[in-house]
Amino acid sequence: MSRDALLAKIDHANAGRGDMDVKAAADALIAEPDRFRVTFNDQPLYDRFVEKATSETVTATVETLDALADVPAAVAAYMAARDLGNRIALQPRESLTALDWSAFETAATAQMNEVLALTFADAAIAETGSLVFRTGPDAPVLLNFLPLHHLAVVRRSAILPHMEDVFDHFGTSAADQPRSLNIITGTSGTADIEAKNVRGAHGPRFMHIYCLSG
Amino acid sequence: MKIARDHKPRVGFFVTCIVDAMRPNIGFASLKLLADAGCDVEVPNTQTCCGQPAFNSGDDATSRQLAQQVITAFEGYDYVVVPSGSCASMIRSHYAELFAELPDWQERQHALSAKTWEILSFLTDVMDYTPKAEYHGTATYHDSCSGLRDLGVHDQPRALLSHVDGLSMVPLEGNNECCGFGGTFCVKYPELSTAIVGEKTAKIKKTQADTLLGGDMGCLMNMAGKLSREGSDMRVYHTIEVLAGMADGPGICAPALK
Amino acid sequence: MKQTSHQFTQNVTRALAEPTLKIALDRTTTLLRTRRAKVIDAFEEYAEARATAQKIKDHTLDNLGHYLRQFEENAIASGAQVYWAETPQQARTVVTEICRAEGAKSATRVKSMLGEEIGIGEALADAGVERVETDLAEHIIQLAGDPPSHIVMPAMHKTQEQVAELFAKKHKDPSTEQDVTSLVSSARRELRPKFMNADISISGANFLIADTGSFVTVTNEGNAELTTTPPKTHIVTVGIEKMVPSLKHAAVFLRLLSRAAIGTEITQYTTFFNGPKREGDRDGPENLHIILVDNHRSDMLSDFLRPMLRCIRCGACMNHCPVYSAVGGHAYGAVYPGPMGSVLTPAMTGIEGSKDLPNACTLNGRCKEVCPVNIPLPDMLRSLRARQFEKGMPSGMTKWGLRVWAALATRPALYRLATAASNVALRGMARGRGKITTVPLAAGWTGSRDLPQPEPGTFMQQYKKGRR
Ligand code: SF4
Repeated sequence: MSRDALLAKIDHANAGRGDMDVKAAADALIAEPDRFRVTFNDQPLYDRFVEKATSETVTATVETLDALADVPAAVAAYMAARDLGNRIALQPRESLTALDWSAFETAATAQMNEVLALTFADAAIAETGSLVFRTGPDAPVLLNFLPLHHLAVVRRSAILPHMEDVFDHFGTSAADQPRSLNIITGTSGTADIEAKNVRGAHGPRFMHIYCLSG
Repeated sequence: MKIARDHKPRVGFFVTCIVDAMRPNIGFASLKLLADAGCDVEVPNTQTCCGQPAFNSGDDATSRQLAQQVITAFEGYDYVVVPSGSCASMIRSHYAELFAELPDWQERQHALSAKTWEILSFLTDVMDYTPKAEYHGTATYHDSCSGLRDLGVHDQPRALLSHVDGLSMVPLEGNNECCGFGGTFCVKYPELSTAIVGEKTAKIKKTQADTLLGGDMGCLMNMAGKLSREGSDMRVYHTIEVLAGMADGPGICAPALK
Repeated sequence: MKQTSHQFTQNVTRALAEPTLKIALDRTTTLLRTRRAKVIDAFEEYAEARATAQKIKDHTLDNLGHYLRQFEENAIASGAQVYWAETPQQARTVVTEICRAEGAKSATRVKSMLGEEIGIGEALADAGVERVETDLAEHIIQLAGDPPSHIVMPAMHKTQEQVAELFAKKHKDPSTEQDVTSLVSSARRELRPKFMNADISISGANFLIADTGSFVTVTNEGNAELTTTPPKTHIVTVGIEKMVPSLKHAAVFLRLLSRAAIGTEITQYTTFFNGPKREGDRDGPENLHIILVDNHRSDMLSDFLRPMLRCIRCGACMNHCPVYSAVGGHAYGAVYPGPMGSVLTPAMTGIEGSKDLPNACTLNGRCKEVCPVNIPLPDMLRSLRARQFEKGMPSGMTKWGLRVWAALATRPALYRLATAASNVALRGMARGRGKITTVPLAAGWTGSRDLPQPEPGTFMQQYKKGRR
């Protein structure tokens, strides 16, 4: 059966059911989102984000930094504390590459067994403690998935309340979409063996977030 | 919905086929409580079964015939009261499906469904009744599925039982999980039914209660039958028997008192 | 997979005889139920979210033709190729043709139930492509040679001990320890190189977004992104009912899906994909193929099974089903087990070959209660029984018994006589012990349970005699 025949069959089954103005009908269903999503009115976005990101289920750690320029030193400290050497996969994004990485060996792509990568999150979601990454020439996908330690920088001002706000912020039309929008909440986990939660299934086992107060 | 107390409601009592055949005591306990709560109770003699076995077997024609029989026998009363969540739910929640294509019957069916009540919720929600009874023991409570999920019967039996002197209640883990009865299911799939009721009785025994209560004779018979086969001396009663002070005879599946 | 739903009762017997299966099921379903209850309790807006989700799905189904066209247009604009498959066979043909055209040798796969439904494994085998399952559970059952037993946790039937034994035997570099963390590390070492070197990746999609042409995957392992990024070609096979109008509509479901499925607020990885690799991108597939699969979904649109198309495949119904918890997923003998499977299997593969599925249910209603899109599963199972009855499918015993009973129950006077007679008979069998241990023709009951001894006389007899 061809596309047209299948669509005709579907239209026939739906005869008399469709809406005149489909978009208006669809939008009306979600016109008051606070009725059907978690609300946290009295809690500041940053507090909510940290609470969720560091919760038992998300398991990230969060560190506050004053300025972007402080990131290399903080990464050096993180690596030294865990004896991770000095190689990092660094997202080839100007805000990061412009920093002083002279003490590190850096690479723009991740190897198969990459130990650590540093990437810049485009936004964060307070509701769930998630980070949002939009792919692009300076933001490949795998850096967020391959390393054992995923370090991410996010600006405090980029923390948005809900997922819907992320869509609004970057645009909701087809043309506004990056090739891939990754919403990442903590580390790679699995509950596939007896529903027991384990970290580091295929992707990162550790996530450390640098939140820039500026 | 509370009724105005200036007239005695006329209640048609629907015995249910299983209480009629297996444990009339539940029926007589119901009559006693309904009278005590201020109802004028009658038992129409053209009643048999609500049609649930046929309905759940997919035999809609027979179900419809039985539904019409029930409607005709009971439509003259203010309320229809049933000592079973699943039969009450059959009449209240499922009869409508049978008359989708019979507009002449829809109105009658709708009126009947709307005034049909499971007895424990009727005593509480409609009659605002407070029982006076005594029972010595520690009981745990199983919430039968249809009553719980279709009719919202959960708090009412507990509230009623809280007035029974000498009775203490202990919670049952998985009180809202099916006991594996399922009407015809238990004879069609005995292995499955046995596995499910086996888990249920294990949880019942874990409570250390000496008495099991519920609101549906089908489920109670299933659990009592399994407990008895396992050699347990758990006393099993329908809640209504305890509330009426008529749980003095042997429990379900228990030998007659010497 | 080979469907064995027609021998459901034999499957049940076998499952019940397997003690480790029950251990595995108990460990998992208990945890999943507790976690779900906790996270739903904490979600104050849950009732409204559930009602909204139901309305969105109903609206989308009512306008499905519109949304499919819109999705197709946007997906093509994003650079994807879109195919339509009415049958599993057609979908498999598209997959094999793509593999052949690419000269593919190996494919990594992200678990999707639609893939199981259309027999993707078979399609790859036909094309001579090595299939590597990347979801941990799928990896386990691929090594074990088992079909999936749950739609979210396909290896639910395996205990930790069994997985340890399997990995020790099959992995190149197995962990020496047997705790779950070490087992997971063993799988990570085994699968990493395969992610990086496959020719093709295959995934499903949890949602299709009509107004952007995006598709969405959710995983906790991150295997969707790891799997679909390195290979040159990404194939998506997806059911047409996965549609939602827009990104923001998808957000409503993302809040419900992982809460219902595993009791967390959101899955670790939620990705919205839009087309293949773009100019300047350093990674991502060059080709993206999206296959939209019907397989009787358009039939379900026009009958009482329509609400089933709201299903978001969370698995909550099976986690809370007493039958599933007793025997596990394999007993159902079909791709989709549990309550939702007992509706879908007859709908997709015909009611003759799956006669038992709609019947083997106590109609206790727990599945509907926990379903995040409020699908009336018990009502649909009951309606399937009615459909079977219309077709004269119930067996001789059932039909005969029902007929005799109906003849009596519709004649109250005769019914009184019959119940009075059976009262005497049952009392005779009880011989005053309070219980009956065997009843002819009722071995199904008395095989494992006693039957109570009835009182002297039915209620109606005693009432007539004046007892009050
Ligand atoms: S029927 Fe409901 S509960 Fe079952 S898998 Fe589908 S959405 Fe989940």
